[in-house]
Amino acid sequence: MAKKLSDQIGGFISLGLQGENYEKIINMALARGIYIWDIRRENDLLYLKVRTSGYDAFKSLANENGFKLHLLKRQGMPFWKMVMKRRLGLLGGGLIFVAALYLMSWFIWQVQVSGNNKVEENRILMSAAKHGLYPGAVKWNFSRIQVEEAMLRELSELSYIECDIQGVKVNIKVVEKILPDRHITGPCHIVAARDGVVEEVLVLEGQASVQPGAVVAKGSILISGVVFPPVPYVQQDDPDPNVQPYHVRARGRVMARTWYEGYGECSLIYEKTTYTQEKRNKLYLITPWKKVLLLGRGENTFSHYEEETQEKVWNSQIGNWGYSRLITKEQQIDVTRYSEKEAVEIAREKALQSLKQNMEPGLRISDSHFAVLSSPSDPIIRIKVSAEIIQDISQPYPIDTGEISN
Amino acid sequence: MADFLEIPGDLVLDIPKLTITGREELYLENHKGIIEYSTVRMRINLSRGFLEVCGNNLMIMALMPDEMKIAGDIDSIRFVD
Repeated sequence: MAKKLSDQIGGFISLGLQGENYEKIINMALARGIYIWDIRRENDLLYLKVRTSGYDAFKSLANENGFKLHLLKRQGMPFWKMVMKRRLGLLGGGLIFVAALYLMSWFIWQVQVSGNNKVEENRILMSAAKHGLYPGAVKWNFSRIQVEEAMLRELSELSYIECDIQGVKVNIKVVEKILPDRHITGPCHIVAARDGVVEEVLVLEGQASVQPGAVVAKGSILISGVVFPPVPYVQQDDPDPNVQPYHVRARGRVMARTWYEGYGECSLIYEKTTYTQEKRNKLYLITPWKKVLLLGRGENTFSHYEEETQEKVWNSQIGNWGYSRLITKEQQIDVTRYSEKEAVEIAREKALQSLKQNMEPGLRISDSHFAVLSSPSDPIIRIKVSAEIIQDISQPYPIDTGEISN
Repeated sequence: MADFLEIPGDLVLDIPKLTITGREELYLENHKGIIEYSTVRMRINLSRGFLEVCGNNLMIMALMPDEMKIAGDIDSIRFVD
């Protein structure tokens, strides 16, 4: 009935019973606690099933009451061994498969890194490998906590490392440190990072040294880190007010109009060398006495060509032996003639590209101006492009402590 | 008393309990052994009287001290004192 699984595990036997008054033996089996099922009557025989454990008891019961017992079939796991004996290869294959799977699960197969932004993945993987965590490592050859601690000591930019081992896969989760600006810790000025005309000054800390409209050169102090406290009203008449300047770490934003330049040129006649599909191969045999042509007779008829030599030489006592291959590739020169308008356009593109290379990324051009430098008769068109940009030119600059002399 | 305490009779008084699924299956609890078994007729002992099941191809699917399951084409089930 519902005991199919337990029947399969313990094994059961199908029996055929021959005799009279079957009810008697059924009731006796019932009374003795022998579990029988699938009881079916066909002709003069009674078919039933009994568990392997109850078979002996049922057999003696049948013998005592004069029944003839026919053993029809053995079923269940204990009887599979007979089948397995015949299929040893299958059993062996299954066992090898399970063993291989188990063996493979001892190793780490994949290591991934997540959470890193500035620290290179390769560095983290190398550090992990150095401490024993790498693809192919046996799981019990390293301790997860020790690897994490050693990696943390080695990679000072990281504040947290977790090696999450899931089966054969390891995910190294890292959290990077957010470091303060290491260069300047003490008081500082804000100076101009490049030349420009000041448009807007926003002082968060310090004293503004420039006003909008001022022309500043690179390095000029924009916001001073040396602050003179305001003179109290009552002391304004005092010729020597007792107020001392003090240092601060100047902070703020200074937007200024700055200029960038780029240059590009384009020739009106443009020559480009390309290879055709034509080529000749010559193979020479190098002997100590003579270089013998083996393959590729005939003269070189290409008007433009490039030669390439591949040589392999072995030294011997009587001289050098080897072979040499000479490949002659035909070239053709494509001449492109640009109209003045096209050349200007190409030179302008190049100038813009060089301008963008000079600029820091993320800046927006507010105004740009092109100028043709070449004269009309020149075979080369030269273009200069200048762009006007409004950008933050503030840059911290540490204050020399000897700057204030009392 | 069982009514008063609201306890099912089959638990307290050893009264047979039958569950019939279609015409093919009969599940019987609280039986007292088999009196007669053939493919067309089956008599099962109860605490009071016996149960007669008639049909074709009757077979005992499972047999346990207190319960049994009979399968086959059941025609009639009758209580006999």
